[in-house]
Amino acid sequence: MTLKKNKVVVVGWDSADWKIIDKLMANGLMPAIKSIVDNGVKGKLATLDPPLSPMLWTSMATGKRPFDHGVLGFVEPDGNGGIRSVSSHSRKVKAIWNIFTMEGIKSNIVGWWPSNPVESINGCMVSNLFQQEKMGGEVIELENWTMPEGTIYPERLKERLSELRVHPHEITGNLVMPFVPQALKLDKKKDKRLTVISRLLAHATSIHAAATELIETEPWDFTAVYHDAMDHFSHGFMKFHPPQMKGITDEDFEIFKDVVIGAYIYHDMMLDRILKMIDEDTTVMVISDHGFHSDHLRPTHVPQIPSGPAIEHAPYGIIAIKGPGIKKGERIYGASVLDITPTLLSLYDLPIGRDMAGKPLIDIYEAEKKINYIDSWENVDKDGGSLVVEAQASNEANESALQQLIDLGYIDDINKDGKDANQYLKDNIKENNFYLSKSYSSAGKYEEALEILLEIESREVPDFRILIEIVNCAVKTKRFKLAEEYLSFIRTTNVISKSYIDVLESKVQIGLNNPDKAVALLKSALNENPDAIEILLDLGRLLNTIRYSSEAESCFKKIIEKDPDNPHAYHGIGLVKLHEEKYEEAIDYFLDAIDRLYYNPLAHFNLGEAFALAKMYPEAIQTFEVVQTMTQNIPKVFRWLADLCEITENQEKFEFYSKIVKNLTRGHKKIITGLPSEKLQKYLEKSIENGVSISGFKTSIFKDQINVGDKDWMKEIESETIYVPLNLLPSLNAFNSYEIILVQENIEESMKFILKSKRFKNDSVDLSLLEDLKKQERIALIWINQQPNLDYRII
Amino acid sequence: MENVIIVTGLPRSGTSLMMQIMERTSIPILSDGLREKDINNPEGYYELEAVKGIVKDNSFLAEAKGKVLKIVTPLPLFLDKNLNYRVLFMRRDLEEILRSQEKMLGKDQSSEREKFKTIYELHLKKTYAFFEQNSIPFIDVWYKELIANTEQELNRIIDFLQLDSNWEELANAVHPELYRNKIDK
Repeated sequence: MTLKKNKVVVVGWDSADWKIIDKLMANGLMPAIKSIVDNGVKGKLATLDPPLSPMLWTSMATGKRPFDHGVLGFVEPDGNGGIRSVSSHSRKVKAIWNIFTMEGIKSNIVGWWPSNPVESINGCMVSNLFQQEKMGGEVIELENWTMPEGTIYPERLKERLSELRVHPHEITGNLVMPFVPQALKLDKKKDKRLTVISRLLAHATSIHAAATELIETEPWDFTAVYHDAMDHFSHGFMKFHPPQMKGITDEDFEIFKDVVIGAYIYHDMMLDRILKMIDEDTTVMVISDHGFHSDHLRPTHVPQIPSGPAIEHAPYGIIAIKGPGIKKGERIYGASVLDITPTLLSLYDLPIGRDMAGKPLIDIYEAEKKINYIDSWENVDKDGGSLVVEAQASNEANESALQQLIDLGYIDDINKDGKDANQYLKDNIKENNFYLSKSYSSAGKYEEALEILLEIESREVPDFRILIEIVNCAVKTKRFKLAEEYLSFIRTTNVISKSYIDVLESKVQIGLNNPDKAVALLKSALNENPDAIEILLDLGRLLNTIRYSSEAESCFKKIIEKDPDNPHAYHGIGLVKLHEEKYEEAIDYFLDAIDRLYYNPLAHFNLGEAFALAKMYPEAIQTFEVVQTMTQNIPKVFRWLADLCEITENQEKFEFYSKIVKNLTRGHKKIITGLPSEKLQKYLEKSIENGVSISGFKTSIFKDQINVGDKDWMKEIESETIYVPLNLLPSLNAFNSYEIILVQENIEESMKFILKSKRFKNDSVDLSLLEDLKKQERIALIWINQQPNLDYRII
Repeated sequence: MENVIIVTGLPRSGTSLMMQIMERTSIPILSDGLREKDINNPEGYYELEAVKGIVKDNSFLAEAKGKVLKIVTPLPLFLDKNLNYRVLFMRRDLEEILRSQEKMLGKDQSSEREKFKTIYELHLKKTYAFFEQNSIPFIDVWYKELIANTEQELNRIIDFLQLDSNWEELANAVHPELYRNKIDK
């Protein structure tokens, strides 16, 4: 078999984060990754929710979300009434190494989580149990250290690779010293933290040894090596990383402050060794599944719940690629863990499965890359390799892997709370189902998530995570009665704080179109948690929607005080400025938001609007063209582009975008609107007398209104003319073009008309109503003037 | 190939009543009589124990060719896609179903009514989607309609299953008094 000229190496560093790497690269402390960044592309890799490593690394290796690939957590049922650490048995779909095997590409796969038992692929596999040295809570001594069944493929490599493993007892004090220079100050008998460092170093070194051995001695086209140690180092020692956190003693800070930096540098040294073993024709990709908070966003405590430590994970991992045909010194945007397999397939010019949730990262290529597709690799009838053992590893190995998860705080100890084995199994299956539901909801499949959540929820043992998710999914699927039923139940428990219940209820009130109630609830929640960024963000966004601009701005500014790099806060202030018609200021804020989080299509869209309204047409066109690459078929983007190209007399582009608009347009609608007034009422009545069919109006402007709670309410409306109250104009979708007829009346007259309808006396005055009406009219006029898809006249 | 006739629907939607109707046709019933009749289903449940294990083992369906059996929603999702089916989908107002279930279970679940309503609604949706995706022919039979317009509904069923029965032979299974959990409004 001939090997490929262009090989690919993937190095996985669990939880690696640019915030730390960037600083170390700048100080010359991570030269290997820097050489990839300088000579290739660099980007953030968006993680998936839940950010749990076995699920994420399987998504990386399959291009599929957990509900498709089947790996749903840290453990799985063992078929004998117990649980075991999650294994290759759980994966329901082909991994990249199976696809490569089918296509004759030779792979080395080392340490991937989960990959035990290994598979009979074209190449070599070393499973994630290779480096484990524990049985239950006990460390196996070096002389008895055997490898679990299903760890190595092919069998002939077993002895050779086994010899390369490094046992924690072989890690001497000298090797630990660079991580903890003041280690001598510690009482090693009492303080187990040095032992943890020894273990992690042994694990990382074992994996590295197996990977380099295979790279050097076996024929290969593709090598993938995964290190979990960086994540474990971070969970153990990030709290000691500078700046010193509250609650960390001066002594601990001094002794352990360099451990995380040491771990990053050590991984870079291992990467450097690999880079020296490969040639210039080999493409190298370094990735991580999520980031890790290392600054003011570090949580002050880790919740004592399964997977609690994941609270320390940050939403973006890393990706850096260099190789032949890859751009040099550039950034890429919008990459996700789902894109790894499609991108690897594109590197070998293999088709992408249409059933993959990810996309190939075509921006990495210097030249245009032709991408081919097939329906699914699952239907390709070739041998991709199969599990080398039916059952998973022996009980001993299982215990060892389980113990590791218990030590890390990802799963409960069976002995905790005196649980019996059956209950332990049930609890773990329930936990996996919870992750499955999160996987569905993070893909926007809220009904699928809701069904699972309702099935696993128990009134006897209320779990705040499940209850919160139920309310969120109920709101997303517009099941407000269900949300309220759960809120009633939650109030009878003490599992969720009052302020968080207020936040949940505010979502229901927004869904029910009661923004004022929602604002009051969020303010009450904020009173109890003045530092809660999420509440400030929710409140700011809501205030922005109902155009309480100055209050909204103050929320966003408070967020920036607490988290100066929060992109959503800058975006929010940008919107405030846009609504206030301060377009240049809006542009600055949108740019600030994009600078902090580039892959944010809405921020780019709003930037485009601000450029257009500031009459900076070329910039606006360029921005909307960026939006168009990030989103699919959003009509408003193309309407803007067509309008802007017409203004700038770019006939060719105008025709191109107009054609797209025409294809996307559902039709033209005439909208009659205005503040409530006798004039508007009469105008509508007269139109009906003249035979015009008007949706949203039968007899009174106070009744029969459209249901704007439904996002796509207009889809159901067949008649050409619709009455839409002035305050609801922004609910018009972008799939239609509009002629707006604004029936304008003196605002005092409008107020009198409303009061009269409420049977107040003719000379009644309501100053707050008057103010509200003025504001409604002003907002509507600004909105009308800012839209690309409508003409309007005032009568 | 002979069809397997499935009577499906949510528990307490009239599936047992439909099985009684089917008993009066020439199609044999596949049940094992293990679940005994009781006050909630005085004529019996017409169930097959193996259906409970359909998630892990649906091989018993091979025995169901040319027969009728009851499989409540959402278990039809685990049907063997290699067989041919015709499905009678029993429907009843969800509120009525929930109250009937509460009565049967003897417990007040009014504080969880939306929860169960949503679960059932989602089960129905999934089951319909499964039938549509796999081109399995089905008709909806609404419990209320069956009671109120027995002739029309039974004739619809006879047409759908191409039975040689006449509706009057089947009608005596439809005892209006079985509509016992009717909600007093």
